[in-house]
Amino acid sequence: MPIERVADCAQCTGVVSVDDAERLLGLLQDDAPLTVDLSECTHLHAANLQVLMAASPAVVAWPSHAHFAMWLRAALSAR
Amino acid sequence: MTASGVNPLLAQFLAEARDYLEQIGTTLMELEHAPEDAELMTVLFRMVHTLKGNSGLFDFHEMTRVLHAGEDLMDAVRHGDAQYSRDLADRLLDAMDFVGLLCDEIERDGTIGARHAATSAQIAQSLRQLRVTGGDGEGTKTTDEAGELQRLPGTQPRVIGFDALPETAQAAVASVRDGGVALFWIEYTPVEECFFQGDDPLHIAMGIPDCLWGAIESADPWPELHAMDAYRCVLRFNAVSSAPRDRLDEHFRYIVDQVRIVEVTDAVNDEPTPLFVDATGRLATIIEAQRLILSMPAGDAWHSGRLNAVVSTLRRLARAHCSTALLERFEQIVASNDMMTRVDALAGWIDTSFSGLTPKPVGIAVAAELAARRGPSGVPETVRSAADAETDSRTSRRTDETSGSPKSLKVEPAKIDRLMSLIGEIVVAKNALPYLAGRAEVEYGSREMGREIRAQYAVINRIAEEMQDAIMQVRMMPVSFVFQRFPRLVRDISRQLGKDVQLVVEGEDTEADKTVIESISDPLIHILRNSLDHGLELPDVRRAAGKPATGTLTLRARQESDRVVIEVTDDGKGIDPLVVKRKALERGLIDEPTFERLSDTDAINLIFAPGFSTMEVVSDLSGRGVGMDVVRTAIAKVNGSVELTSTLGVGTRLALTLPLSMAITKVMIVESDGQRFGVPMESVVETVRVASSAIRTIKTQPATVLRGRLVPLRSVNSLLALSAPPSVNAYDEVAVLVARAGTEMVGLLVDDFRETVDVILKPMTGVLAGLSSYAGSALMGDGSVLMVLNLREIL
Repeated sequence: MPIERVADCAQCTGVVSVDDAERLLGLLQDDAPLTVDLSECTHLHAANLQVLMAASPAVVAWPSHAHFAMWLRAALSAR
Repeated sequence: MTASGVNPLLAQFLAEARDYLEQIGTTLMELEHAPEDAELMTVLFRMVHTLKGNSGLFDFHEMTRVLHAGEDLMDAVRHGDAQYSRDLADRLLDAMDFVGLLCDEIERDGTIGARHAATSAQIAQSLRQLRVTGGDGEGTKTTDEAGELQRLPGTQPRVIGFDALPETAQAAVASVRDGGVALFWIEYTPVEECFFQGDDPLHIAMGIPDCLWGAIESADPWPELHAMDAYRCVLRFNAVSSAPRDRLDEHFRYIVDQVRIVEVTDAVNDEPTPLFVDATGRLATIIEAQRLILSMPAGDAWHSGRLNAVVSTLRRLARAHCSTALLERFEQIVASNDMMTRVDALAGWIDTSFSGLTPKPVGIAVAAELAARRGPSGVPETVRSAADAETDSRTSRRTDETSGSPKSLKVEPAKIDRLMSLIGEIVVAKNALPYLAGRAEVEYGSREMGREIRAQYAVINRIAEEMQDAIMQVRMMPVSFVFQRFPRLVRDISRQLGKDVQLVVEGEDTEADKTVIESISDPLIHILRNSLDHGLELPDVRRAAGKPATGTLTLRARQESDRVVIEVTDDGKGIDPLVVKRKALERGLIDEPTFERLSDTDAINLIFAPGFSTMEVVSDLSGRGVGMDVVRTAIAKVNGSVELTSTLGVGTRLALTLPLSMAITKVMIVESDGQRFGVPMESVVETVRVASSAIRTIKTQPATVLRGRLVPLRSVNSLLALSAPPSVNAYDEVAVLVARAGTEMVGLLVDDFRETVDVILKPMTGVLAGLSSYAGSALMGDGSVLMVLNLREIL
């Protein structure tokens, strides 16, 4: 499962594909204060990205891949 | 057409595509006369549709896009959502020309250059415009189309001021700008349904080559989370890249309609778009990066280059953020010579100038990463394959609609040529059998054996002849192959000239050898152009002359025994023999006495003389100095002839007479000085024996009177520089082969006549190619070589 809910944190692992966006949205819709851990994430499909941007949860860890992390920060930090 | 170096599937696609383009053009022409013909429209739609489907099998996005737009348009017309018009036909023809151009490029390079992306989008747009304006808007796609139009390149400014960039972007690219590198501002707004098309916009954005700065924002305000549709893309990507324009075009070639790429210039422009990182944070990052560079050891080779980069970056920062005093201090430091002290001084200057900023370590990592990323990066694989899969599935679904397997087999001409030369060899080889039978009888005394060999020979001979015939049939092509492009040609030219012309084509099914058919294409185009340009009059002139305003140009093909006759007739003003004669006199083509003597028929035939052109003004179409002589030469090359008749004020008729096939030539064998030569049968008029006493010498030229006509005599021996005199038979007669050379008759003095044979004439090759006195050589049954004379050359 690319998206795993551990306590109040949604952990994203590996490639989070377009099919996972529904589930991510569902998780974030349920109860608001959910954090996101992207440390193990290698790619996030744009559908997931826009869900994260819309929900703007706190990101507790950024991906290790710097270029990827940079683009995610560009999208998520400002919010 | 050769397709070497291209894979077989692609080669087939190209061949088919050309066929389709040809047919689409023809059908569009037909539609022009019958715009209401729903069946024709359906045929047209199917062709465009199939072609689009086929192009989807390959990575030819530019081609598929145009064809797709064309298909949608045809579909709309078919369903009455758009109107067929001349404008529509023009645009579709242009689009098909563009596709043809792409085909050429694919054949040449194996791929389509990214530079065509914009043209492709423009053509697709122009096609869609017709649909949008023609449609009543009930189609589901219409709104998308309208949206797409606004985003298309060409409707947007081509450059953007540097100052219009978001501040953070300005800061990020500041140091690069000094290097004189062109920068591009990229706005990528994916279409809402892009996720369903297999796109991952983030992946595409991350793959932007040489990306210096990037930002992601929402195109619309964020919706309530509960109301959000995760699969409706609302993202918008902005980026600045220092990659060359063509690499960016290449990167976005699949989504060119969703991307705006503009060059960044120094010009002042609009307000910047919103940022994603606050300016001070980014400034701090830059400052920290400069500190970091300055603190690097000075040992390596890059040190001075690094230092220069730091200086230029700091100079920009100083201009933007610092007081004049600090700026002056900075320039002093830069002006000082010593490298080491300069480094320390710069570090100190940074400390005093930007003391208020707290560095952000993570920011440096990002900057460094950005720098590291500035290497080449390919098109993202996952994006491409996903897009392909999508296209493929669509293609397979659509191709189900179109019925059936190909009706004909495509064979490369080279293979047929090979078959042709192989059958030639069989014919020669089988002709050796009678000789063998003769030897069996004479040398080995076995009449039985000889008879059996002859019986076998008869069988092989029959099969070989049938086979030869069959292969000839394969090489036969209908003249429609050449004719089919003429409706378009006539339409385009007549419109250009403001003339009203109706083209009538008859006998398109008439067949002839491929070589013959191909060779008449250019001459016919030339003839048609001449008729349109010089022959047919403008509508007003025609009306004044009591003719219908619309001129008629008739193209008629028919078979006459073993020749094909192609007639081009127009009902134009005809050729005035007097005008032609005067012109010829002016040009020095004829002299005064000839001028007086020349009959009207001979006069109009002067237009075939080299260097003759009746038109005073060199027009765009014909009359570029290459006259009708080119036509005659080209036709003569395939052993054809041209006949011209014209009646002043009524019209002109040009008849091309061509052989059905060039593969087999009938030649008459003659003997002279102990050698055998072939003379093509078409130039042989008769063979006679003339008594030596009947030969008279006029000046130095021997001649004789045959059937009341004076026939000059030439000896084959002297023509070929053989020293032997012509021999006479027991009755003191010489053998004369009367041949046709142009319009004249010439008697050839030979020693003896032999049989006539069918030979496969091979043109002279290699070092012999320069020998123009021979038309070619042929192998005889006994293995000897027969040289066939080229009478046109030696006489």
